[in-house]
Amino acid sequence: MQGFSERLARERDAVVDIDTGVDITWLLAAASNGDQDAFERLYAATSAKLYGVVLRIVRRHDLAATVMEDAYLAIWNSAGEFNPGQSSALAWMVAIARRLAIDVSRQSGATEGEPEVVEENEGPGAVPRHALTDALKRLLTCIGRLEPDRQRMLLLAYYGAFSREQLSVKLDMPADLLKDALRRSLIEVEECLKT
Amino acid sequence: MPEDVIDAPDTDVLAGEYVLGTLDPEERAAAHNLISADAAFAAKVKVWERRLGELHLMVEPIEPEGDVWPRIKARLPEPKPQPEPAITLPEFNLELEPEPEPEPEPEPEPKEERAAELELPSPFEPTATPEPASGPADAPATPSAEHVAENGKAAEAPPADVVELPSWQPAASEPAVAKPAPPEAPVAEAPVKPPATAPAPMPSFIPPKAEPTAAMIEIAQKLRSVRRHLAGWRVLAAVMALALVALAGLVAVWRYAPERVPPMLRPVALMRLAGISVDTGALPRRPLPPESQFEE
Repeated sequence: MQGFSERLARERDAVVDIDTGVDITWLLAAASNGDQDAFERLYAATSAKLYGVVLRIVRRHDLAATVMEDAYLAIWNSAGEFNPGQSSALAWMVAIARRLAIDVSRQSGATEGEPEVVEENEGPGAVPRHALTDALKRLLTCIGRLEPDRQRMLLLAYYGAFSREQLSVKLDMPADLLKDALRRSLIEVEECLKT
Repeated sequence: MPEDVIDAPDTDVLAGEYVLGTLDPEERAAAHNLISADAAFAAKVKVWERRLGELHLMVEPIEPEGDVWPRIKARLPEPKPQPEPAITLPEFNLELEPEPEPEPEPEPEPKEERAAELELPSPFEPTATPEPASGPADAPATPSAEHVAENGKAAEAPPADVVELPSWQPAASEPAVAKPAPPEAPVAEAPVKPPATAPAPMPSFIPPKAEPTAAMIEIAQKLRSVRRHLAGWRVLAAVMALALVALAGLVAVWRYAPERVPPMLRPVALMRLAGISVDTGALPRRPLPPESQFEE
């Protein structure tokens, strides 16, 4: 009996796993038709991911909440422009949220207000192998070809959206050297992804 | 806009840095202006967003505060009537019907239809009490949220088959990076000259308005038919499970609390209902266990 219920739970998880990506695309399509119920479910399914991304960039809960508001309104307003042939729905939503979060983090600078959330680990989390997409595999392969320092620089830049100035402090690298390294890394990754 | 001054690879890098988020405020504002002024640059930004987009898979989800959604909802426009499933009554119906219903009120009906389509009846939810008919509207929201949480958990606890990034060690001070330059060198030249008029840092999204909606609708329709099939099977499974539970419950009550069974559901009554006659007196006594014959 125990074994059976365990298997049942596993099968349910598997079904949900396969479903989710599709679900988000579908919910986004429904939202683009003005379906607010679908939009609420879209929020429920994606808000934790977007909040994780945004909070890493603005590093304050109050700012992150504001960004979330603006991001979901932008998603609502431009849902019809999402093209499922080009990227996953979640990646598209994350890109919108990141853009707004970076704008806010550049505006606010080191302002007063809530203390920053201290991130003990600024690096990326690990990905379970089954969640690895082909696109991510390719990207990681290309990033992996860079020198270790540059890998770290690129990923730190992406996850924390630090300005070059902040990066040069964090990585203890002179600003002009960092600028050059960033530029070369981007070009190398681009070349690698094109082949 | 000094587009002609900027050569191609530079705008490529600028777009990449814009997406990465490494530009300082002035550069970022300039990039914003370029996005709205230069379609080619906007396209490059899109390409970089697509290239780096999958990295979000490595970010651990964090649940936002509960008051975020209400604030979003408050800023959404008033729900408009759904255009898609407009129900038009055939003409002959109007003649047959005693009440003609002059105002069909398109708003509520299609809304409900949509809700029904969205519904994912999931009899296998562990917490769900076996009442598939109840609470159709709010049920599906939870599983997806749960799922996101589960994803997060999966990402947190790295199992054996976890892919780590090639190298994410804390910066082991590697002497490879020489530091010849004067360390105080200020961040001097920006790839793009900030325009004379101080640009308002407005987020501007002007993606190409093109085919996507048609493709999405097509996918959505296919999905809907698949989903309808699935829903049918799930309902069937739920009903069967319900019947099974009821039967098991009845048998259990017969066995463990026979005096509590309402007279209508007693085995004898049921058998009589099925046309089998039983004399009530003889049945309940069981034959003695065989070993008792050898006692004394």
